[in-house]
Amino acid sequence: MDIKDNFHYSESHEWARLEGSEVLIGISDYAQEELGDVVYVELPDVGSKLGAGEECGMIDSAKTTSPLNSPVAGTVIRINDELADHPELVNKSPYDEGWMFALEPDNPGDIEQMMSAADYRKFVEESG
Amino acid sequence: MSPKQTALYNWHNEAGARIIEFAGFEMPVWYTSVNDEHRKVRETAGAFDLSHMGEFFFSGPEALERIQWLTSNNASKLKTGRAQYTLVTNEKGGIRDDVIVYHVDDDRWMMVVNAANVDKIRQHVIDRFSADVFEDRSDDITLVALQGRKASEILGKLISDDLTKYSPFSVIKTKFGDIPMTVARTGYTGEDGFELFVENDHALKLWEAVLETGGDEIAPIGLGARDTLRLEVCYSLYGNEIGEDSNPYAANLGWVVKLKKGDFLGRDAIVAMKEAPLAVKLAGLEVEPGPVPRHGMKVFSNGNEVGDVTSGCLSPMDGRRIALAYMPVELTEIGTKVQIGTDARKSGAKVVETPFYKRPYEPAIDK
Repeated sequence: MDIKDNFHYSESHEWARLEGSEVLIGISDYAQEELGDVVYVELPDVGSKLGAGEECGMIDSAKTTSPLNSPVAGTVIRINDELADHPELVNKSPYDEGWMFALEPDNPGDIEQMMSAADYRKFVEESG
Repeated sequence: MSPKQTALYNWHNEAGARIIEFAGFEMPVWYTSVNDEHRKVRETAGAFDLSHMGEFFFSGPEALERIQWLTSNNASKLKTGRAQYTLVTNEKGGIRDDVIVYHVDDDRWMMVVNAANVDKIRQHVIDRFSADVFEDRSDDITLVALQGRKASEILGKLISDDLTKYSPFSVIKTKFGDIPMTVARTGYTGEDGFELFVENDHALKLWEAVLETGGDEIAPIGLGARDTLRLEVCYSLYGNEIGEDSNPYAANLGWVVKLKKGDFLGRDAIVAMKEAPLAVKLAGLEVEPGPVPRHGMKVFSNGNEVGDVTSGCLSPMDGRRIALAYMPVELTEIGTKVQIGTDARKSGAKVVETPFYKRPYEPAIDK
């Protein structure tokens, strides 16, 4: 299980990282392993305003459907269009090519409220 | 109660399988990927550990009579060495389980029941006859399914029997090395294939031999792909398409109900079902791009809720979103447009031909 340092993590297994003024969001390697083959991803609309923890999309795997949540509050400014044709990128590259959407955060500091890599590793080990 | 493990559990675990609890067993749901495993079975072959399923044996001169009372198909048609798909019915004509009955020896029959229904069917039999009319050998027997167009080639290297002599639903008592093994040309994937029954002591030897002999042409397959494989060919899953309250005709299972064979449990109720016009029946749907259809979604027509999705998936073979659903009969004509989903979120769907997949070959059999 790959848990990237310098990323921040939510209890619902999204990651977030600051890139310039935007926050990029995806799901963790642990999450994609749990889901198995991702076959469809529904992302929020560009321009939509999301609250922290708000459900904003869905991830269909071969076996199950799971909600996608926004770990911080903000406005969606970009989504990863590649996932429409290549949902498997979420499995192959959860931290990079499998990113899901980018927010302009209401408060750039909110990301610090999320778990660090070390905390998330402990969280996954305890919940697993 | 802690979950049970099959004799192959350690193998699955060491192979890195993702294990889930299913019907009280810790079972592999996938080893690498549901989609890859699904395609492997369709393209060449796959091996499944189905030892969680139950094996009941009925012996003696009254065995056939008891099976006939318990099930809807006509077991008296089965010569020794033949098997059939059938339903264990309940008093009201519903489905207590869907099973395969195997005529393994002159006065000996095996019934393979769904894992989730083992306790229920055991009690069902005891309540109607007595505990000593049958043996429940579910905890002693390993069932390995070898499925796919290469299955007969692989199995042919492990046993001395000429498999071209055995048509689908044949049962053979044979030996794998020194190990007694029952082989049936049955399965639940829509492919040619076999189900292999051995005592648990021999499970690992058989499993490893099957995988080694198949080499690159076989892979171990988890329950995830078992579900998508059966759905593509529209085989019912107990708990999804069928249950205690099901009408066998609505489930498209009228072909395993033989009313002329004589009386059986629930027959009067089933006669009434046959005489009444069907209100709903199971139909195949193709859903437009969007969320994948799932068990529990509803069917809508003109905004009204009219039916229930029983199973759905994204077909690993052609990428279509496919589903089975109970719908009003008048909406089941091919091409009829409906919607499926939840009150909050619906997707367009249309009724399509079933099955969703047909194997493009015939099993190699001398006719």
